[in-house]
Amino acid sequence: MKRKERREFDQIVERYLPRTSDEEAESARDRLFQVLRYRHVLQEAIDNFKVPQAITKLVSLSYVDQLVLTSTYLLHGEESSSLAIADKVHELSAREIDEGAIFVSLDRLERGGLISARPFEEPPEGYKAVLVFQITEDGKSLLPDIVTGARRLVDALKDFASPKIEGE
Amino acid sequence: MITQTVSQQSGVSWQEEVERLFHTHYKFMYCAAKAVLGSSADAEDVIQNLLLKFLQRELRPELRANPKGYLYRAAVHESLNMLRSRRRRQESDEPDGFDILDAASDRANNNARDRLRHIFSELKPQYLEIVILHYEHGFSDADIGELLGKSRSTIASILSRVRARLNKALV
Repeated sequence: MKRKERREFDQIVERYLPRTSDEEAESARDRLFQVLRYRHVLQEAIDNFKVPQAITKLVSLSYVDQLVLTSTYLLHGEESSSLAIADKVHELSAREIDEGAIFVSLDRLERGGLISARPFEEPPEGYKAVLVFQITEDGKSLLPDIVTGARRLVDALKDFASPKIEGE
Repeated sequence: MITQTVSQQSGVSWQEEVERLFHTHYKFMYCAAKAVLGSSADAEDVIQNLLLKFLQRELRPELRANPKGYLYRAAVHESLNMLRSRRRRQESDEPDGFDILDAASDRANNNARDRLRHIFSELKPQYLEIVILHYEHGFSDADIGELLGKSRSTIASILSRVRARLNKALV
């Protein structure tokens, strides 16, 4: 192809290529980086996402929850593993309580911030990781409510108080 | 990003460096992608996909050594992939963003543009890189050679071969 022909041909190709203005490219770039900023914000939100610190006020503590919270308090300072707590719960309750319910309750109370769990420093032989539970300040603040509730129940159900006591 | 690896030299994470490079060379990449694909929306998609891909892996040494050339080549390759997959799907795609100079010859122009896209889709990626730099960016043979790490004579010979093919298909 001769130089002149080549130039003419180049002009034809250039004519069929799309033209891009500075404004078009800049606005496309702005859109991309806007998307990227959203992505960063979203990623940051995901990275920093935590289960919110829930109930510090009593929302609803079941009978088992009340027993578990009380047992954890009573074992305070001791090796309050879940098994020790379960034993204490059995000791306090009038009837047999399913251990599964105790473990579920421990989990619930921990998520609610009423008790805290940490790994036991010297786990017993045969155990890989044992958690030790402690009542938190929020948990302690609920104990008077449990006492009040229990007292009211006792008062309300005076008629059912044990015959032994009645006879005295 | 989740894990921020801080590069020792500059104190910024490699992800930030990738973003900075994309910001700097965006227009260059965008024009190339649009020239290959003929569509602004497709060109934007291509660059966005590329950025996400680059953010998912460590900064490559080639990118650090020759950011403009590497990003340009990535844009052309990614656009070519899209052009080819579009052809495979046989989508009827109306190119947008053209300067319509003569309304009466719209159809002829569109046909010529389609033929041009068709030829592009059949070119080797290395050839297309050169064609776009020459026609879209107006680079001289020497400048193209410098950006792509090839000799000036290689560029000139590839261009003349491609010109012959384009000439046959277009004129």
